[in-house]
Amino acid sequence: MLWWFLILGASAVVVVMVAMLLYVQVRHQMKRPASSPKPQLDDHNQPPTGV
Amino acid sequence: MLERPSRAVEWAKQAGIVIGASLVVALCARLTVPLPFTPVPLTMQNFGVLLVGLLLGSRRGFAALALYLVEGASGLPVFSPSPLGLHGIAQILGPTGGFLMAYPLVAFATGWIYEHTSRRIGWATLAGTAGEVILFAGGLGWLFALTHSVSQAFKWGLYWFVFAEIIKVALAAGFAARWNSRFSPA
Repeated sequence: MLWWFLILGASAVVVVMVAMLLYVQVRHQMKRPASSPKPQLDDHNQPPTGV
Repeated sequence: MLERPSRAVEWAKQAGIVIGASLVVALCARLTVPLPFTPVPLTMQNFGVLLVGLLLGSRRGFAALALYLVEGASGLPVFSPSPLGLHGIAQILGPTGGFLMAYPLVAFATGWIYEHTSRRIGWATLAGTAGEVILFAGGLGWLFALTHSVSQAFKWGLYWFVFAEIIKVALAAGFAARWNSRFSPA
């Protein structure tokens, strides 16, 4: 019976760690596009292009 | 002097919630369909466990399900009716014992994951799924110990239940997310 509790405890720890890892990864992925600089639509520092 | 009564009231309130949650699981356990080809019945008990974990969180969820096991062990008819006619401690040590004994840990893990993630339906689903993995690790491990056969343990404790468990997780997650969006402070 002891081994059963050990397996249950170990599987619980692994499952919770995987779930939290997934959460951190997804949060990181979701935050990255939000924090990246927006592309400048009216960039006046561009060299003038010939007509 | 003034803190004592409020602390006592708060303690009584929490104890009431835990006792109420154990009764909710007992009510869910009444919704059971015995299957002729396995000693493990199809039951809404698991749904109740997931719901309690998601709504009450890790510590109160653990307490509620530990109390539930004590109620069942003492002979109260809180467990799903056993197809083998087992009651009390005999039921805890029977074929479904692995599922029953895993319940407090399932509620704790489900609640803990949901507490530490943003309270959305997707994360509630993840927490419920994690709880189910722990539940079936316990249930199938116990069946393996009884039958000494992995295929027999899977046949009795897994194949017939996968689809129903997906629905239970979705229901519990949807209910918990809706409850949180309505009743939790913004």
